[in-house]
Amino acid sequence: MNGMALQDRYFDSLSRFLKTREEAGLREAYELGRQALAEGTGVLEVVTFHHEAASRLVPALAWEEVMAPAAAFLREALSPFEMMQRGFRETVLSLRARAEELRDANEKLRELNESLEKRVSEGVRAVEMRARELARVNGELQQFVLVASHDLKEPLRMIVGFVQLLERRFPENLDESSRQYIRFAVDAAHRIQQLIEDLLSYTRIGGGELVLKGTDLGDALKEALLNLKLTLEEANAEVHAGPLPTALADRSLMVLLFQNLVGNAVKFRGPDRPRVWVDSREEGNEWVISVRDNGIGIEEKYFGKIFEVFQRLHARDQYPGTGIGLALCRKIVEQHGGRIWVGSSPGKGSVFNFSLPKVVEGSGT
Amino acid sequence: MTVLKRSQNRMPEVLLVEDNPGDVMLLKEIVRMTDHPIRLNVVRDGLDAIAFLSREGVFSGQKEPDMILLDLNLPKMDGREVLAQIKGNAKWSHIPVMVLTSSVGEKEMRDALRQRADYFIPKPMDLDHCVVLVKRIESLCLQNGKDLEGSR
Repeated sequence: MNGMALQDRYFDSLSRFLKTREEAGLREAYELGRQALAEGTGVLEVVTFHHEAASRLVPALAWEEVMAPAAAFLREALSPFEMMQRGFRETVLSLRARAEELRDANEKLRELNESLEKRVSEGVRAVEMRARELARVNGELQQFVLVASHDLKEPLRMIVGFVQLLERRFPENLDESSRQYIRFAVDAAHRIQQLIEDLLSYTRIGGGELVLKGTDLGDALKEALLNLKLTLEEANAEVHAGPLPTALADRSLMVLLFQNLVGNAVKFRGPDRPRVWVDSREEGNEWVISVRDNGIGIEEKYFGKIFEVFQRLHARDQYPGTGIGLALCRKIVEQHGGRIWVGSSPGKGSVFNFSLPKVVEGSGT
Repeated sequence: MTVLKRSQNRMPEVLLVEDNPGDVMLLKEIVRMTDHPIRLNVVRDGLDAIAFLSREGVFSGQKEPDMILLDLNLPKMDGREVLAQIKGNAKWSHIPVMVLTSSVGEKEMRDALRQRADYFIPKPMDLDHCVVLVKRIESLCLQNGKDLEGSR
């Protein structure tokens, strides 16, 4: 609708009312005002029309007559605006309430975060402290073993030395059983020496840093077999090695691992000529290396026990040893992030398996 | 000529620095059993070892040893300190030092070798090894004596 036309028609209606005093003119003006509002003409414009109309027409007339209906009209015309205003006020209030709620919620969240942070940092501190404590205890333990082994070896050396001296210096005073007693004593002392050496190497593993690099396990096996040369020859043993992978590992520990596993396979041999098969396979992200033998085998109930320190299944005069070898193997494998396990049945031989994580291509050194 | 003859005939002098009487007695017995290939002079601590080499006090009449056998764990002055003093002194640094130890820690061995020990030997755990060691000491002393004569 054209604004000017509205204004003209409004004037007309109002002047008709003023001339004729008929309600119809006033009502028409009022309706025009409403219409203008309904069609989107702003409240202020309507008021302006009305004010202009009034100021043009009113001087000739009494104020009262105009003002009463005009006031009514204005009230009516402004009512949507007031409602809007009220609504706005309510909206503002509710927004303010919401803002307060949000602020409260925020505050609570902040407090929660702070306590969470505190708890996390406390947790981290506790873990760090425990790690430091563990490292300290571990260091002390190693130091203890070093000192203890040193102090144990000293008197042992004396025992062996002087008992042997006895035999050498006074051979004519000793009969066969005396010489046998001396042999027993020396043998026992030698066993303690071996035990101390084994304990020492068990303790050393885990103390030092692992030297991890691409290690050809085939080479490591070759070196282990070289170290076992005498044992293998004495037992007339046969070792078959399949292709072995290159793995991220500490080379000297891998040699020690193979040396223990192959050495065990030969030590616990059955009536047949000892044979050992070393093979490898891929399983998911791991290499699995197996050392299989045709030895005496192990009962299933001992499968877990044999990897514990000092666990032996046989009398010492049957199979010599200190009960540390397989515990050492487990420590080596676990330090590399792998597992070690055994499958066996008595009389049919054993398979010792160990896994090593495969290196993702490109990430290896 | 006379100097050469005397040095070839004389018995190697070995200074044993060891506080454990058992070790001392065992080594003496082995020397005796193997017909005295070397002469053992024994001191019981590090301070006496230095006094022996300096020919101080009771050691005034002593000759310079052909080899020093040195235990690392010694009272009064530690074996490492003794080794440092010997190898740091121009008068003594040519004397071969054999470190004898019952601990076979790699760190200990590295430290000893870094301090210019000439030999690092674990103390023998067996009489037979002990006999081998004494014979080896004798031959090393003689070898060293010849080298010195040759270079003079």
